[in-house]
Amino acid sequence: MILIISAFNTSAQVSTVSLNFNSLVNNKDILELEKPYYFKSIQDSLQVDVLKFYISDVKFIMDETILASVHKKHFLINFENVLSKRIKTQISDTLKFNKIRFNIGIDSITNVSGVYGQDLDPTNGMYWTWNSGYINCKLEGSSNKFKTRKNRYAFHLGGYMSPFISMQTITLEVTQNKEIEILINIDDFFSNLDVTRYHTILSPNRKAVVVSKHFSTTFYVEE
Amino acid sequence: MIKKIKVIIQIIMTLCCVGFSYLSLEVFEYPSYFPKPIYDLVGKPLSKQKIELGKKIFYDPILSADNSVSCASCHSSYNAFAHTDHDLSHGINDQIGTRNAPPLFNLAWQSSFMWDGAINHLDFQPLAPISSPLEMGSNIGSVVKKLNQHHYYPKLFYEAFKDSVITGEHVLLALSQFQITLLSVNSKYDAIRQGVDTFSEQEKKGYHLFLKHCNSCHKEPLFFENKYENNGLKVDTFLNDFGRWNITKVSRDSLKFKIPSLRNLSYTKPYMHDGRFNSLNKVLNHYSNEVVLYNNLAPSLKKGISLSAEDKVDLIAFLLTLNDQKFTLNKKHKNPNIYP
Repeated sequence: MILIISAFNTSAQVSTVSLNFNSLVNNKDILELEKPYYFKSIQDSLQVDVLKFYISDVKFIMDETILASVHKKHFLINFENVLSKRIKTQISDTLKFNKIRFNIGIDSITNVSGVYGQDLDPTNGMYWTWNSGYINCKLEGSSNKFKTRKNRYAFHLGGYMSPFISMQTITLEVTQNKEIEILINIDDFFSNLDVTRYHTILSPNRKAVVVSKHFSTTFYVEE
Repeated sequence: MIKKIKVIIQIIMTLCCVGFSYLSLEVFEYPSYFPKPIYDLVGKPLSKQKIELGKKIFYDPILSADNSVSCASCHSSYNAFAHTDHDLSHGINDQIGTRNAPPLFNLAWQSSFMWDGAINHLDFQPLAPISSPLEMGSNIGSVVKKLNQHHYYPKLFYEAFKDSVITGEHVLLALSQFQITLLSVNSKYDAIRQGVDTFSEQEKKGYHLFLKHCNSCHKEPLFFENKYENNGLKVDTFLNDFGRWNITKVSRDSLKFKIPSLRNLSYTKPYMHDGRFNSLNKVLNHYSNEVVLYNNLAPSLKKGISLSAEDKVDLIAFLLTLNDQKFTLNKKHKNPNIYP
């Protein structure tokens, strides 16, 4: 059963659910962009300059039953913009869920259906201009770990066509239904990444799929 | 009760909206023998204001980094929106691109764009030349910024989209609307299809040769297919352009290019993805004598095309019936002269 929560539906008692996206450094400091941190996990300093990604098709689930979906389909989470890091929606008080499910990225139907506005507007810099398709995730910065020019790393992860489909769907367990803190374990991302092979990805390819999967495993919910 | 009132209000509002937008809606008409268009107009109905706005943007060099190059710089209405006599496209600072600028017409039937099909939807096509450093050298973000600061564009966007804050979405939608109206459906061939003209003997012979040798790829009545084929051209070792392979990285797509339309050939020379042939004779000589036998050559070229000198003349006579001068001279598509 899928209930679409619509703005017009005000008759039932509803409360606000909010998904807050953040990233912790060394499991304690909230990640800020363009600021170098010493990462214990990689025993080196590293900074993130850009972190933005699409979250789409957010669903609230009890065991295996989908109870509700967020009406708005696509959200651009941009760490540069505090407001964008929070997805707020209204959900009926009678619906209790223990899981949330969402995509990291944009589905293939949306990718081939022409231009959209707001979070999907190509002015957001999350659309490839020379080869159609949304960039699902941009993660850029620098660290001495990367033996590249200026020690830069740049992951522009996307691709909607087989065999390079990089959108990922993840399901996270939650223990409460109000303020859900979704964290990206950036330590994990870099400590479990072969930085000699994976440092610059700017087009849909096999590496983009590998790193997209890896990125999706770093999402967790703070208890 | 409250719900009922809400529903009624919603219905009234919807009717008002529909009524209001109907004032400017344009009907997309095309010949009965054409297939159904691929561009989905259901959610994006054509309107006069959007088409006119798209036309102004199309002709405006504001799209390029130094305000020197517009879409029309390489897509001239007089040449069926191709760039006659230029083998490769031009860009800012007199730079030369890597491909021949294709003509623009009957785009609502096209499912992918660019010679390698890199672009999957008409709406997104302008992003490629706007961003290419060899063409307009800009980006959609700065185009939107410039348009928002412009003295009359916000007003035009308000008239077209009921929103004076210009967005990337609205810029691209307006450009699509104008380009969709570029219909080439008034050639002699079309008149014959409509029963108001007839082929000459020579054209008729050419038509039969066309059906035998060309129609499998350049399928009538559009005279193109939304497919990629390797047509046996030698690789230009300066450009090293492997076509569709550049996008898919699959070896069977090597040297495949989008099958172009054969309409309006008199206005769109030179031919092929790199503009290597400057006459139809040279094109026919290629197909009859010079095809390189690649493994993934288009199936219809594998057994070779044998054309006598007379066949070639007849075939060209037929191809010329696909010229549509009403289209190239259509005043509706010309530069609206936005700088009075």
